[in-house]
Amino acid sequence: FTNLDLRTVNASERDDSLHVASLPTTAVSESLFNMLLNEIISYVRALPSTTTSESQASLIESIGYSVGLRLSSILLLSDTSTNLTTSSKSAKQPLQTLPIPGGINLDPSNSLSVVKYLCKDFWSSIFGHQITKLQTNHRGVFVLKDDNFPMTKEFTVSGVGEGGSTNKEERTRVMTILTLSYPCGLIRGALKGL
Amino acid sequence: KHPAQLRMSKLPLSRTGDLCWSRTPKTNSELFTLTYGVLVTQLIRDFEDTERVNVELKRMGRNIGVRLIDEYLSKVSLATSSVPSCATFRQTGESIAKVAFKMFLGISCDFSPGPGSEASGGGEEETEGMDEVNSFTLTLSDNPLSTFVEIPPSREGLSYSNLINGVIEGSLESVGMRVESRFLREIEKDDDVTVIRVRLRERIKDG
Repeated sequence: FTNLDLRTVNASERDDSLHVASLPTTAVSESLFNMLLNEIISYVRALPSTTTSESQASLIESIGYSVGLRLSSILLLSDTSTNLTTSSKSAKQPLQTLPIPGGINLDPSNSLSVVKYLCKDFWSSIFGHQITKLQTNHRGVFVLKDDNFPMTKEFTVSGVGEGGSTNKEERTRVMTILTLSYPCGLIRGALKGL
Repeated sequence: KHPAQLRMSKLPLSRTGDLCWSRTPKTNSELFTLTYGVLVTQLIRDFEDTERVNVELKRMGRNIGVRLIDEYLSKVSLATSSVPSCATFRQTGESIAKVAFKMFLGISCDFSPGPGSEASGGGEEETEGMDEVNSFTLTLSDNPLSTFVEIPPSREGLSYSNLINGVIEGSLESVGMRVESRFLREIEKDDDVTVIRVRLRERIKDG
């Protein structure tokens, strides 16, 4: 895997687009969202129809998917300062200051620009910061790394139960996978929405 | 710390609320609204009976409330360098309206002591002079849980934002008050505001 540069090309021309990285005007507390997500996960785990971790993760993922789908269309429509180009290497894209409904210059066939959109604009609008590190193997696989991911930042698993440390590790692993299914669905839905 | 700084905070509640909100890590409210919406949809699919959905939303809210109160107490203590404490139920209600709603949902709501009127839902009772009330109403002109949500007529029994009532009940129970919280009016049902009525049923004695 090679590292990809997420910095803006031609920063001087495109300073306005960096404003997307600031927080949206309407916000709620991060901890409240995390608690809501946790309740959803507990609910899914207690459902009689989802007895295995796989089925639970799958349901959580599809919940994330529904949200991601709608979220990306809302963000595309409300975004006025994004200036995505078809090619990140192109040097002379004019700065667009007028909002174009749904008309972001995003070339869907260029998966690299789509992924960059995801890492920068989409991620910033939702979480207030960009993806820390993006890697690719140039064969269609991308690795997105976020050092400061809100949903798992303050993650603790209660230590009650037998089995000692391996049991707790196992439960931590299971809970982490369940929790992360949500953003996986989010990404899948967001991409579908694009 | 200087002993004088450990007194009860003299800040007006709305300033405390703003202060706590400014220190809160925030996330996109649309993410929150949509997530909540998908949850309600899922519950409707699973339970079909509208009243059971209301009950489930309140139950989930109570779980959240029990954890939220800890965060509320510690953040307010940190922000004001004093112990948050409410001597009367009225003060409790004011704190919820001006501090708690602000620091978690980013909105503040209007507080009215007294039970409000069932018909108009507003706080029309003249209880200005009374410190010891056992109910109050909170009026929200805007509800982040339900932006753009409308309830279809087939589901008019649904209290869409019932999670909030659960949060209020769960958090107050953790600090010794058993209350009942419900909506008198709801924006999702074509009312112009959402009005929550909180009624104190009993104080839980330590023991």
